[in-house]
Amino acid sequence: MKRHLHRAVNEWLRDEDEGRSQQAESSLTGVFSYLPVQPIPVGFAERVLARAGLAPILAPAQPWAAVWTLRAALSLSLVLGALFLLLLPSYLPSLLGIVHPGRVTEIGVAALVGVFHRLGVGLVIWRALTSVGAILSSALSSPPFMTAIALGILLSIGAFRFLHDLVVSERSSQYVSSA
Amino acid sequence: MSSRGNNVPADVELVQQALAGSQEAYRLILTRYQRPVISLVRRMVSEAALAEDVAQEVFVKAFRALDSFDQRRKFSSWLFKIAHNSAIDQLRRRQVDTVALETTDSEQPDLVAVIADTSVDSPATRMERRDLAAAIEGAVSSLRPEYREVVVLRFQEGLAYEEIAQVTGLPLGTVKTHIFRARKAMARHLAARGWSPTKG
Repeated sequence: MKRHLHRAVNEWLRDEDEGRSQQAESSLTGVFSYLPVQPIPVGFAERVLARAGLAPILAPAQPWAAVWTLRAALSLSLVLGALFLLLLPSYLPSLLGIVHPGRVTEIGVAALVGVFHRLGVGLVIWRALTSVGAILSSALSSPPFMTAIALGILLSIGAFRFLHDLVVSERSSQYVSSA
Repeated sequence: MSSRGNNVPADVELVQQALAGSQEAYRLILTRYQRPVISLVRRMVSEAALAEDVAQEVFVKAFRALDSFDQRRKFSSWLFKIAHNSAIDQLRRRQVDTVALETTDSEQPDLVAVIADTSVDSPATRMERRDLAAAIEGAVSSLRPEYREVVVLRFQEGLAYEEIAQVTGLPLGTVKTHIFRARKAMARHLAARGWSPTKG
Protein backbone atom coordinates (compact mmCIF):
# COMPACT_ATOMS: atom_id res chain seq x y z
CA MET A 1 0.00 0.00 0.00
CA LYS A 2 2.78 2.41 0.90
CA ARG A 3 4.61 1.86 -2.36
CA HIS A 4 1.34 2.51 -4.18
CA LEU A 5 1.04 5.88 -2.51
CA HIS A 6 4.39 6.90 -3.91
CA ARG A 7 3.41 5.67 -7.35
CA ALA A 8 -0.01 7.36 -7.21
CA VAL A 9 1.48 10.70 -6.18
CA ASN A 10 4.05 10.45 -8.94
CA GLU A 11 1.39 9.61 -11.49
CA TRP A 12 -0.83 12.48 -10.41
CA LEU A 13 2.01 15.01 -10.47
CA ARG A 14 3.05 13.80 -13.91
CA ASP A 15 -0.53 14.19 -15.20
CA GLU A 16 -0.69 17.69 -13.76
CA ASP A 17 2.71 18.51 -15.23
CA GLU A 18 1.71 17.36 -18.69
CA GLY A 19 -1.70 19.04 -18.57
CA ARG A 20 -3.82 15.85 -18.63
CA SER A 21 -6.62 17.23 -16.51
CA GLN A 22 -9.00 14.25 -16.56
CA GLN A 23 -6.27 11.74 -15.79
CA ALA A 24 -4.98 14.03 -13.06
CA GLU A 25 -8.39 13.91 -11.41
CA SER A 26 -8.55 10.15 -11.38
CA SER A 27 -4.95 9.78 -10.24
CA LEU A 28 -5.56 12.26 -7.39
CA THR A 29 -8.52 10.09 -6.38
CA GLY A 30 -6.00 7.25 -6.33
CA VAL A 31 -3.72 9.25 -4.03
CA PHE A 32 -6.58 9.82 -1.59
CA SER A 33 -7.52 6.15 -1.65
CA TYR A 34 -4.06 5.28 -0.35
CA LEU A 35 -4.21 7.77 2.50
CA PRO A 36 -5.30 6.31 5.83
CA VAL A 37 -8.83 7.15 6.92
CA GLN A 38 -9.55 9.64 9.67
CA PRO A 39 -9.90 7.96 13.07
CA ILE A 40 -13.33 8.12 14.69
CA PRO A 41 -13.37 9.39 18.28
CA VAL A 42 -14.12 6.59 20.74
CA GLY A 43 -17.78 6.54 21.77
CA PHE A 44 -18.77 9.04 19.08
CA ALA A 45 -21.95 7.18 18.08
CA GLU A 46 -23.08 6.80 21.70
CA ARG A 47 -22.57 10.52 22.34
CA VAL A 48 -24.56 11.43 19.25
CA LEU A 49 -27.43 9.11 20.18
CA ALA A 50 -27.48 10.46 23.72
CA ARG A 51 -27.38 14.06 22.48
CA ALA A 52 -30.23 13.35 20.08
CA GLY A 53 -32.22 11.82 22.92
CA LEU A 54 -32.20 8.42 21.26
CA ALA A 55 -30.23 6.51 23.87
CA PRO A 56 -29.74 6.96 27.59
CA ILE A 57 -26.25 7.73 28.80
CA LEU A 58 -25.33 4.54 30.62
CA ALA A 59 -23.59 4.90 33.93
CA PRO A 60 -20.48 2.73 34.26
CA ALA A 61 -21.23 -0.59 35.96
CA GLN A 62 -20.38 -0.74 39.65
CA PRO A 63 -18.07 -3.54 40.79
CA TRP A 64 -20.05 -6.47 42.24
CA ALA A 65 -18.19 -6.56 45.58
CA ALA A 66 -18.57 -2.82 46.12
CA VAL A 67 -22.30 -2.97 45.48
CA TRP A 68 -22.83 -5.82 47.96
CA THR A 69 -20.60 -4.23 50.60
CA LEU A 70 -22.63 -1.04 50.35
CA ARG A 71 -25.90 -2.95 50.60
CA ALA A 72 -24.65 -4.90 53.65
CA ALA A 73 -23.48 -1.71 55.36
CA LEU A 74 -26.82 -0.05 54.75
CA SER A 75 -28.74 -3.08 56.08
CA LEU A 76 -26.55 -3.27 59.19
CA SER A 77 -27.03 0.42 59.93
CA LEU A 78 -30.80 0.02 59.59
CA VAL A 79 -30.80 -2.96 62.00
CA LEU A 80 -28.65 -1.07 64.51
CA GLY A 81 -30.91 1.96 64.23
CA ALA A 82 -33.98 -0.18 64.89
CA LEU A 83 -32.32 -1.84 67.91
CA PHE A 84 -31.37 1.55 69.32
CA LEU A 85 -34.96 2.76 68.98
CA LEU A 86 -36.25 -0.38 70.72
CA LEU A 87 -33.84 -0.05 73.66
CA LEU A 88 -34.16 3.73 73.99
CA PRO A 89 -37.31 3.81 76.21
CA SER A 90 -35.77 1.59 78.90
CA TYR A 91 -32.51 3.61 79.08
CA LEU A 92 -34.05 7.07 78.69
CA PRO A 93 -34.61 7.82 82.47
CA SER A 94 -31.03 6.97 83.38
CA LEU A 95 -29.75 9.04 80.42
CA LEU A 96 -31.79 12.00 81.56
CA GLY A 97 -30.28 11.56 85.03
CA ILE A 98 -26.81 12.18 83.62
CA VAL A 99 -27.90 15.38 81.93
CA HIS A 100 -29.02 17.19 85.11
CA PRO A 101 -29.81 20.96 84.77
CA GLY A 102 -27.64 21.83 87.74
CA ARG A 103 -24.70 19.93 86.27
CA VAL A 104 -25.12 21.69 82.92
CA THR A 105 -25.10 25.12 84.61
CA GLU A 106 -22.02 24.15 86.61
CA ILE A 107 -20.15 23.16 83.45
CA GLY A 108 -21.20 26.37 81.67
CA VAL A 109 -20.06 28.59 84.54
CA ALA A 110 -16.73 26.75 84.80
CA ALA A 111 -16.19 27.23 81.05
CA LEU A 112 -16.90 30.98 81.31
CA VAL A 113 -14.51 31.39 84.26
CA GLY A 114 -11.80 29.56 82.31
CA VAL A 115 -12.26 31.79 79.27
CA PHE A 116 -12.07 35.01 81.30
CA HIS A 117 -9.06 33.79 83.23
CA ARG A 118 -7.20 33.15 79.95
CA LEU A 119 -8.24 36.56 78.67
CA GLY A 120 -6.76 38.15 81.77
CA VAL A 121 -3.42 36.36 81.22
CA GLY A 122 -3.47 37.46 77.58
CA LEU A 123 -4.01 41.08 78.59
CA VAL A 124 -0.99 41.04 80.88
CA ILE A 125 1.20 39.71 78.07
CA TRP A 126 -0.24 42.25 75.63
CA ARG A 127 0.50 45.11 78.04
CA ALA A 128 4.10 43.95 78.42
CA LEU A 129 4.54 43.73 74.66
CA THR A 130 3.13 47.21 74.06
CA SER A 131 5.50 48.76 76.59
CA VAL A 132 8.47 47.02 74.89
CA GLY A 133 7.18 48.27 71.52
CA ALA A 134 6.88 51.84 72.83
CA ILE A 135 10.47 51.79 74.10
CA LEU A 136 11.78 50.41 70.80
CA SER A 137 9.85 52.84 68.63
CA SER A 138 11.01 55.85 70.59
CA ALA A 139 14.61 54.64 70.30
CA LEU A 140 14.33 53.88 66.56
CA SER A 141 12.64 57.18 65.70
CA SER A 142 15.47 59.21 67.23
CA PRO A 143 17.75 61.05 64.71
CA PRO A 144 20.90 58.93 65.31
CA PHE A 145 19.02 55.66 64.66
CA MET A 146 17.28 57.04 61.58
CA THR A 147 20.64 58.16 60.20
CA ALA A 148 22.13 54.72 60.87
CA ILE A 149 19.23 53.01 59.05
CA ALA A 150 19.52 55.36 56.04
CA LEU A 151 23.26 54.71 55.89
CA GLY A 152 22.66 50.95 56.07
CA ILE A 153 20.22 51.09 53.16
CA LEU A 154 22.62 53.15 51.04
CA LEU A 155 25.43 50.74 51.83
CA SER A 156 23.26 47.76 50.81
CA ILE A 157 22.35 49.42 47.49
CA GLY A 158 26.02 50.09 46.79
CA ALA A 159 26.98 46.51 47.61
CA PHE A 160 24.21 45.11 45.43
CA ARG A 161 25.26 47.30 42.51
CA PHE A 162 28.89 46.20 42.93
CA LEU A 163 27.90 42.51 42.96
CA HIS A 164 25.71 42.96 39.89
CA ASP A 165 28.54 44.59 37.92
CA LEU A 166 30.90 41.85 39.02
CA VAL A 167 28.55 39.08 37.83
CA VAL A 168 27.94 40.81 34.48
CA SER A 169 31.65 41.33 33.84
CA GLU A 170 32.41 37.66 34.66
CA ARG A 171 29.72 36.30 32.28
CA SER A 172 31.15 34.56 29.24
CA SER A 173 29.72 32.77 26.18
CA GLN A 174 32.33 30.06 26.66
CA TYR A 175 30.09 28.31 29.18
CA VAL A 176 27.32 28.12 26.59
CA SER A 177 29.44 26.82 23.76
CA SER A 178 31.18 24.18 25.85
CA ALA A 179 27.90 22.77 27.23
CA MET B 1 -24.39 4.50 -0.77
CA SER B 2 -28.03 3.92 -1.47
CA SER B 3 -27.80 0.67 -3.40
CA ARG B 4 -26.25 -2.15 -1.45
CA GLY B 5 -26.07 -5.88 -1.23
CA ASN B 6 -28.93 -8.12 -0.18
CA ASN B 7 -28.19 -8.09 3.53
CA VAL B 8 -27.24 -4.46 3.85
CA PRO B 9 -30.20 -2.10 4.00
CA ALA B 10 -30.16 0.88 1.65
CA ASP B 11 -30.09 4.39 3.05
CA VAL B 12 -33.75 4.98 2.27
CA GLU B 13 -34.75 1.79 4.08
CA LEU B 14 -32.74 2.87 7.10
CA VAL B 15 -34.38 6.28 7.05
CA GLN B 16 -37.83 4.67 6.90
CA GLN B 17 -36.98 2.32 9.76
CA ALA B 18 -35.61 5.20 11.81
CA LEU B 19 -38.74 7.22 11.19
CA ALA B 20 -40.74 4.21 12.37
CA GLY B 21 -38.81 4.39 15.65
CA SER B 22 -36.02 1.88 15.18
CA GLN B 23 -33.05 2.87 17.29
CA GLU B 24 -30.96 0.29 15.47
CA ALA B 25 -31.59 2.13 12.20
CA TYR B 26 -30.29 5.37 13.69
CA ARG B 27 -27.23 3.52 14.89
CA LEU B 28 -26.64 2.00 11.45
CA ILE B 29 -26.91 5.41 9.78
CA LEU B 30 -24.37 6.70 12.26
CA THR B 31 -22.03 3.79 11.70
CA ARG B 32 -22.28 4.21 7.94
CA TYR B 33 -21.72 7.94 7.79
CA GLN B 34 -19.72 8.91 10.86
CA ARG B 35 -16.38 8.54 9.12
CA PRO B 36 -17.14 10.64 6.01
CA VAL B 37 -18.90 13.33 8.05
CA ILE B 38 -16.12 13.55 10.61
CA SER B 39 -13.57 13.58 7.81
CA LEU B 40 -15.29 16.42 5.96
CA VAL B 41 -15.88 18.50 9.07
CA ARG B 42 -12.37 17.94 10.33
CA ARG B 43 -10.98 19.19 7.03
CA MET B 44 -13.11 22.30 7.26
CA VAL B 45 -12.71 22.98 10.99
CA SER B 46 -9.10 22.26 11.73
CA GLU B 47 -9.51 21.97 15.52
CA ALA B 48 -10.19 18.29 16.37
CA ALA B 49 -12.38 18.80 19.45
CA LEU B 50 -14.47 21.44 17.70
CA ALA B 51 -14.78 19.22 14.64
CA GLU B 52 -16.16 16.39 16.76
CA ASP B 53 -18.68 18.73 18.31
CA VAL B 54 -19.78 19.94 14.88
CA ALA B 55 -19.97 16.37 13.56
CA GLN B 56 -22.21 15.42 16.49
CA GLU B 57 -24.38 18.43 15.76
CA VAL B 58 -24.67 17.32 12.12
CA PHE B 59 -26.15 13.97 13.08
CA VAL B 60 -28.41 15.45 15.74
CA LYS B 61 -29.79 17.94 13.21
CA ALA B 62 -30.17 15.21 10.59
CA PHE B 63 -32.02 12.88 12.98
CA ARG B 64 -34.34 15.65 14.12
CA ALA B 65 -35.09 16.67 10.54
CA LEU B 66 -35.28 13.16 9.17
CA ASP B 67 -38.98 13.45 8.36
CA SER B 68 -38.22 16.40 6.09
CA PHE B 69 -35.73 14.37 4.02
CA ASP B 70 -36.97 13.87 0.47
CA GLN B 71 -36.52 10.14 0.02
CA ARG B 72 -36.19 10.47 -3.76
CA ARG B 73 -32.90 12.28 -3.20
CA LYS B 74 -29.57 10.84 -2.20
CA PHE B 75 -29.23 10.61 1.58
CA SER B 76 -25.47 11.17 1.59
CA SER B 77 -25.84 14.46 -0.32
CA TRP B 78 -28.49 15.62 2.13
CA LEU B 79 -26.28 14.71 5.09
CA PHE B 80 -23.21 16.36 3.56
CA LYS B 81 -25.29 19.47 2.96
CA ILE B 82 -26.10 19.59 6.69
CA ALA B 83 -22.41 19.01 7.46
CA HIS B 84 -21.42 21.81 5.10
CA ASN B 85 -23.90 24.25 6.65
CA SER B 86 -22.97 23.32 10.21
CA ALA B 87 -19.25 23.71 9.53
CA ILE B 88 -19.76 27.05 7.79
CA ASP B 89 -21.92 28.26 10.69
CA GLN B 90 -19.26 27.19 13.14
CA LEU B 91 -16.51 28.91 11.18
CA ARG B 92 -18.51 32.13 11.07
CA ARG B 93 -19.45 31.91 14.72
CA ARG B 94 -16.07 31.16 16.16
CA GLN B 95 -13.84 32.80 13.58
CA VAL B 96 -11.64 29.74 13.58
CA ASP B 97 -8.35 29.95 11.77
CA THR B 98 -9.14 27.46 9.05
CA VAL B 99 -5.92 27.57 7.08
CA ALA B 100 -3.13 25.57 8.64
CA LEU B 101 -0.20 26.64 6.51
CA GLU B 102 1.95 23.68 7.38
CA THR B 103 1.21 20.46 9.13
CA THR B 104 3.83 18.81 11.22
CA ASP B 105 4.42 15.17 12.02
CA SER B 106 2.91 15.59 15.45
CA GLU B 107 -0.34 16.87 13.93
CA GLN B 108 -0.69 13.83 11.68
CA PRO B 109 0.38 10.91 13.84
CA ASP B 110 -2.01 8.40 12.29
CA LEU B 111 -1.05 9.24 8.75
CA VAL B 112 2.64 9.13 9.39
CA ALA B 113 2.37 5.99 11.50
CA VAL B 114 0.50 4.09 8.83
CA ILE B 115 2.61 5.19 5.93
CA ALA B 116 5.91 4.85 7.69
CA ASP B 117 6.17 1.09 7.83
CA THR B 118 9.12 0.31 10.02
CA SER B 119 9.32 -3.39 9.23
CA VAL B 120 10.41 -3.46 5.59
CA ASP B 121 12.22 -0.41 4.30
CA SER B 122 15.42 1.36 5.01
CA PRO B 123 15.37 4.40 7.30
CA ALA B 124 15.92 6.65 4.28
CA THR B 125 12.89 5.23 2.46
CA ARG B 126 10.78 5.47 5.58
CA MET B 127 11.77 9.06 6.06
CA GLU B 128 10.98 9.87 2.45
CA ARG B 129 7.56 8.26 2.80
CA ARG B 130 6.89 10.14 6.01
CA ASP B 131 7.83 13.36 4.26
CA LEU B 132 5.52 12.54 1.38
CA ALA B 133 2.60 11.86 3.71
CA ALA B 134 3.20 15.10 5.58
CA ALA B 135 3.53 16.97 2.28
CA ILE B 136 0.18 15.69 1.01
CA GLU B 137 -1.52 16.57 4.26
CA GLY B 138 0.17 19.95 4.16
CA ALA B 139 -0.99 20.47 0.59
CA VAL B 140 -4.61 19.80 1.56
CA SER B 141 -4.37 21.92 4.70
CA SER B 142 -2.87 24.85 2.84
CA LEU B 143 -5.91 25.17 0.56
CA ARG B 144 -8.57 27.79 1.10
CA PRO B 145 -11.50 26.30 3.11
CA GLU B 146 -13.85 26.25 0.10
CA TYR B 147 -11.22 24.48 -2.01
CA ARG B 148 -10.45 22.05 0.79
CA GLU B 149 -14.09 21.11 1.09
CA VAL B 150 -14.57 20.36 -2.61
CA VAL B 151 -11.32 18.38 -2.65
CA VAL B 152 -12.53 16.18 0.19
CA LEU B 153 -15.97 15.72 -1.33
CA ARG B 154 -14.56 14.95 -4.76
CA PHE B 155 -11.44 12.92 -4.11
CA GLN B 156 -12.06 11.42 -0.69
CA GLU B 157 -15.81 10.88 -0.74
CA GLY B 158 -16.10 10.39 -4.51
CA LEU B 159 -19.04 12.76 -5.07
CA ALA B 160 -19.93 13.87 -8.59
CA TYR B 161 -19.65 17.53 -9.54
CA GLU B 162 -23.43 17.92 -9.45
CA GLU B 163 -23.63 16.47 -5.96
CA ILE B 164 -20.86 18.77 -4.76
CA ALA B 165 -22.77 21.70 -6.24
CA GLN B 166 -25.87 20.60 -4.31
CA VAL B 167 -23.97 20.17 -1.07
CA THR B 168 -22.06 23.42 -1.21
CA GLY B 169 -24.75 25.47 -2.94
CA LEU B 170 -22.23 26.62 -5.53
CA PRO B 171 -22.87 26.78 -9.28
CA LEU B 172 -21.57 23.76 -11.18
CA GLY B 173 -18.99 25.85 -13.04
CA THR B 174 -17.64 27.22 -9.78
CA VAL B 175 -17.29 23.71 -8.37
CA LYS B 176 -15.27 22.66 -11.41
CA THR B 177 -13.09 25.76 -11.16
CA HIS B 178 -12.54 25.23 -7.44
CA ILE B 179 -11.50 21.62 -7.99
CA PHE B 180 -9.17 22.53 -10.83
CA ARG B 181 -7.53 25.34 -8.89
CA ALA B 182 -7.29 23.22 -5.75
CA ARG B 183 -5.51 20.47 -7.69
CA LYS B 184 -3.05 22.94 -9.17
CA ALA B 185 -2.44 24.55 -5.78
CA MET B 186 -1.76 21.16 -4.21
CA ALA B 187 0.66 20.23 -6.99
CA ARG B 188 2.44 23.58 -6.59
CA HIS B 189 2.62 23.05 -2.84
CA LEU B 190 4.29 19.68 -3.34
CA ALA B 191 6.61 21.01 -6.04
CA ALA B 192 7.70 23.83 -3.75
CA ARG B 193 8.74 21.16 -1.26
CA GLY B 194 10.77 19.22 -3.76
CA TRP B 195 8.18 16.65 -4.88
CA SER B 196 8.36 16.59 -8.64
CA PRO B 197 7.21 13.75 -10.92
CA THR B 198 9.78 11.26 -12.14
CA LYS B 199 9.62 10.47 -15.82
CA GLY B 200 8.93 6.97 -17.01
